[in-house]
Amino acid sequence: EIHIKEPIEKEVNPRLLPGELLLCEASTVYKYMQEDGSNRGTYGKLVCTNFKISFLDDDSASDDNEPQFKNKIVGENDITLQCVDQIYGVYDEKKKLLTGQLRKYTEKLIIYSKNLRVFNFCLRYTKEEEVKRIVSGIVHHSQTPKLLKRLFLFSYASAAPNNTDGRNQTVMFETLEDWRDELERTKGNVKYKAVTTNEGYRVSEKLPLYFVVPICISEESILKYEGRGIPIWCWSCHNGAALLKMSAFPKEQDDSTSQMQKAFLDGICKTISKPPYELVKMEDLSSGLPSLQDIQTAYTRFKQLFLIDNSTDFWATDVKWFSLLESTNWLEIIRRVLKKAIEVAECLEMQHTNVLLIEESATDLCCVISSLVQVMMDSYSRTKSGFQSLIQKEWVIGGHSFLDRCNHLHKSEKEEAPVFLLLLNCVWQLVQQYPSAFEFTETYLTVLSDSLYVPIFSTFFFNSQHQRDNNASGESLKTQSGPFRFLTVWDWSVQFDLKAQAFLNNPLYAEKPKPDKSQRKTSRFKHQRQLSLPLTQAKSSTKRGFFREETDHLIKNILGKRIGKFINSSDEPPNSFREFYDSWHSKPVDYHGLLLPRIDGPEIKVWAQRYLRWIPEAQLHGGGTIATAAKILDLMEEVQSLQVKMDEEHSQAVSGGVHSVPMLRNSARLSSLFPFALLQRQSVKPALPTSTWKDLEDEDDLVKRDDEFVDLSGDM
Amino acid sequence: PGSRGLLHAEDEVALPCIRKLVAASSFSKPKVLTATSTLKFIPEELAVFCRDFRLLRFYFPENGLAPQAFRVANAIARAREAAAWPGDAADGHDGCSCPGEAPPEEEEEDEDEDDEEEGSPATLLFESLWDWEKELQRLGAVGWRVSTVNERFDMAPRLPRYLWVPSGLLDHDLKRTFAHFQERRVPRLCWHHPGGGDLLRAAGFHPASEPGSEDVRRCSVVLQGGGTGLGDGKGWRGLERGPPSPPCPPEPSDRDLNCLLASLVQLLGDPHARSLPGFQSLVQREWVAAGHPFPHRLGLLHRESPREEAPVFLLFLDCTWQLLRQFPAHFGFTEAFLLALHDSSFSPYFSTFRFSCQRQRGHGSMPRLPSQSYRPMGGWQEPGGPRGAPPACTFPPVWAWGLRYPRQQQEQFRNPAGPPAPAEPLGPGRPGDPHPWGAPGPVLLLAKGSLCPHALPWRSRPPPR
Repeated sequence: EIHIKEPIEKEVNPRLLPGELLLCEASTVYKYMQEDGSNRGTYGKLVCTNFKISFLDDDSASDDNEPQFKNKIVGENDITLQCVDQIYGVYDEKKKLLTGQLRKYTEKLIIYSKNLRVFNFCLRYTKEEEVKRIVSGIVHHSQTPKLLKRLFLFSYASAAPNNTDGRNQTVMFETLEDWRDELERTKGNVKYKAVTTNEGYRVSEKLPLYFVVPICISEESILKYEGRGIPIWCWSCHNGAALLKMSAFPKEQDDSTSQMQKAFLDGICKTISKPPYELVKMEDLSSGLPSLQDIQTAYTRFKQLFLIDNSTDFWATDVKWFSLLESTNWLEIIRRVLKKAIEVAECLEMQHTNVLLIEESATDLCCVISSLVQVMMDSYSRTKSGFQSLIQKEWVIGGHSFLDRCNHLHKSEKEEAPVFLLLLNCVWQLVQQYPSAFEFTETYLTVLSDSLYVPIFSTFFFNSQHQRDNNASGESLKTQSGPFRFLTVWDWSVQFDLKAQAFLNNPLYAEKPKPDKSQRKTSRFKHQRQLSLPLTQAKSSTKRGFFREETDHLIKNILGKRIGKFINSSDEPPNSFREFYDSWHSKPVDYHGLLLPRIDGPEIKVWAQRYLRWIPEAQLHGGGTIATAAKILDLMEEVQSLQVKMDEEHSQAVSGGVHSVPMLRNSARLSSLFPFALLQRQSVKPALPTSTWKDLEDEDDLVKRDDEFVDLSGDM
Repeated sequence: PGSRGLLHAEDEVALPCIRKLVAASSFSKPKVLTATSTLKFIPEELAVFCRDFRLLRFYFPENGLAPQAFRVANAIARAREAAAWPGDAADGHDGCSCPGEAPPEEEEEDEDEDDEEEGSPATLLFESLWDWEKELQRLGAVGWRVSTVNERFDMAPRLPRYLWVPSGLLDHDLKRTFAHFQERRVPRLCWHHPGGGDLLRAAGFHPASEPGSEDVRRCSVVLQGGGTGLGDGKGWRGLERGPPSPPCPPEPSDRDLNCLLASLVQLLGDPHARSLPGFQSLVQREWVAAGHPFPHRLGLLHRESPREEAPVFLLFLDCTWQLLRQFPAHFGFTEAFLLALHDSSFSPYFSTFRFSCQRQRGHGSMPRLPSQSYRPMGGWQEPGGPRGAPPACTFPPVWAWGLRYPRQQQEQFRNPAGPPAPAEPLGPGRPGDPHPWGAPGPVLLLAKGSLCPHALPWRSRPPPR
């Protein structure tokens, strides 16, 4: 249970969490509604605590318009310190990035948050003293290097001890048991074993306390190079082939050392290639995938498209949208990562070979690829608890450096790279392509990405299990009492009440097949071109090679090129990837089997919910997928209520509703930004310069126009 | 080919649907085949690039079939050229005629089965007076009437047979306005908004027009028509952007971008246009009857003139698809329907896309001996108006989906998540309050991408007395 102190009196006071301290505040701050250039907004108080920056609306008393989907920890006008991306001050109409010492008073403060919101504050009416204090306070607490122990995580944990012993269904992989269960679940226990070699972190501080290696690997070899060069098990496929990862040796100057390392590696490889082990395929992730630097650069450019100061900005960006999007390269990176994951899946599934992912630390792209492969191949990873266990296994316990990659402590920008966000973006592609195959929704992924910046959960605020254990024990800290019991992000009740949690569950999830087959007709969307074509039988393989059905892909490749090229195409070595991909996509999908994403250009999309949710210009009132979903949910509810009636007829005990379906009534009133669009504000696109709007009517009329409407349906 | 499989088997392509034919061999460069450029080598492979984005590749193995391969390749090239209809570029007033071939034979066989087209009753073809009357009534456009002044196409050959004009304008006066507009395409009503605004379309003013004061008065009546005027503009965000810059000269002719914009505006503003029959009626009125030169724009003519080819109609389908994707619950039809319509536009057997205007459509499909081969398309021909049934089409309209698509597939044309019978209005972009009747709003003209308040070029002059 989280205790939130209620405001004592009418005067607006920040709601403070346990352990949260008010650091500085400023009153009569004017907050613009960013979405129009009209300077409309509200007055209030801007405060900075050791957890968040918060704007307190002067007349926030009217709380009768409670949104359906509300975060209990981070309110609508809150930005956690870790979520602040950039802060700008406006001096004489010029925007300047604020990082350290302030030279002058700023009239305007613009805060970009990492979950892509933009806050515009006007400080013109605030006392100069307060301006100075609040601006330097915000900049200092959110932008300057910080000690780990100063993270709010610790104050919160000591003030609000975590009494939730309720372990949810998520497997945390903190115990040997967990690893053994996972081995058993995937039937990997014949050839792989969980080891205790790293107890006391005597092998390495980067490795988890417990992990799994091939049975033939000896304790000595694990210890020899601090776990480097050792294949570590990630997952076993149903056919016995396993996905392994290995942290590579850094480039050595010394010849003899590298000779020894090479000999060591050869030895290991020989051991794990012998029966009963499958052949092993090495997959060096440093080649063929974008570097962390590439990923960071692309994402920095990409997110800039959505950090929009005002309406004018939006329309300016919108004009060049397609070329801007292309120039970020972000979608291309997503595509390359998905492609690599499909390649790995092909090796495991079709060639029955083990795949060994190699990366220097084995904690960045290794995590992305191995997680994606499991989401594609293991339907358990597509359930909510399965996915959470997967994140625990590969990322949290697996040793992804969340602290460094998110730059939570502002230590070094060089280390920063949105690797985990990349995974979520890739998984989102799968979710939008196959919504029925996932127990969770895109909203789940969005709030998960938001949770990356909420420092009350330990999940994303350590670099390794060792670092967490070390800091949680409290031994190194005399003043505070330890050990700390941190919250885990997987306890969604901390952030959301039951009603809001319903948005995280996919009511259209195709649950594990039940015996009756009539309902389990795979209604897979055929490839779109085929829709207009007659219902002919799919091409059988009896057709000869040169008559093979042409896919859109081939057409794209061939159109415009010299025809001579495709004459020779049959001479090329067989591309097993292409064959695997094409043949899988030509068959009906099994939501509980292998799931391959489409990686053709048009199928890779922008995760609109995450990136556009704060931009009112981009919302579709009554449109988007939510409209269709609402319709389907209505039908489902109807079916359910009929079912209940039928059950009553048979006078059987009626069990509770299968799913608690969120209120999605009246799709016309919902916007595509649901459930994040809290207010349905509209903005007027500035008239094009060539237009003559202004000649016709004065501006008042233009403003009024928004409010006018005629109900067409009534007149028709 | 079987009767049903004729147009839609996977390995088959209608000859006009072939965009490019390429022969290749390992010994020489690939060659694009036309009727005139003959093949000088034995092809190993033949690639057929189709307009519906299919690519058919045929490989001739070396087993003594070489001569056949050579003959087949050349034959396809010639047949394709022959299948393109001679075109109506120089059609003047009677240049067009039906190609010598008989209309598809299977039509007769199918006729009975398709008598009860499900979707047909509500699709208006706008061939008959009755259709125009009925639609005008649906729009509730008080102050407008159907004029039969162009019934014999002698006023404006490429305008539809019937026109919606202000009730206050006598045919006598109307007749005098034709000369002032290019191609004699006078302003006429497209759509009446329940809020009171009217959407009109017209060609540009004829450069040689020298109007007298009476003419100006008549034109004003046409434009001020039922109350308000050309492109009321209130709340139609779509009009703000204007059309993309056209590949050919801007819209003097009222036959391309006007079709596009008039139909898009209605798609945005009129829930009926978003139902399946409503959409078909819309295309029928704003494109087919209005005289969009389909054969030229789709590039289906024998003498291909690249300057005339422009996918205006396909652009419209693309725009519609975007709307459909954004507001799936507001449309009665599906992506599959749009795709079927797209693919059908390259099929030669529909009156819809074969001709450039209503008049030609009537001529072109008029059999030589009308009494003998008069065959109304079952269910498709609405009962004729008081002036008798218009000449029957021997080519079916594209809307006769039953001829080509089995019931099962036609069912995919309907959106199960679409609106219930009376569609809900769209959220944003709602039109303004009803105008007080009798107080005409400004008349706006959409030209060069923006709405201008002056509709008449003579306005700048002192008002004639």
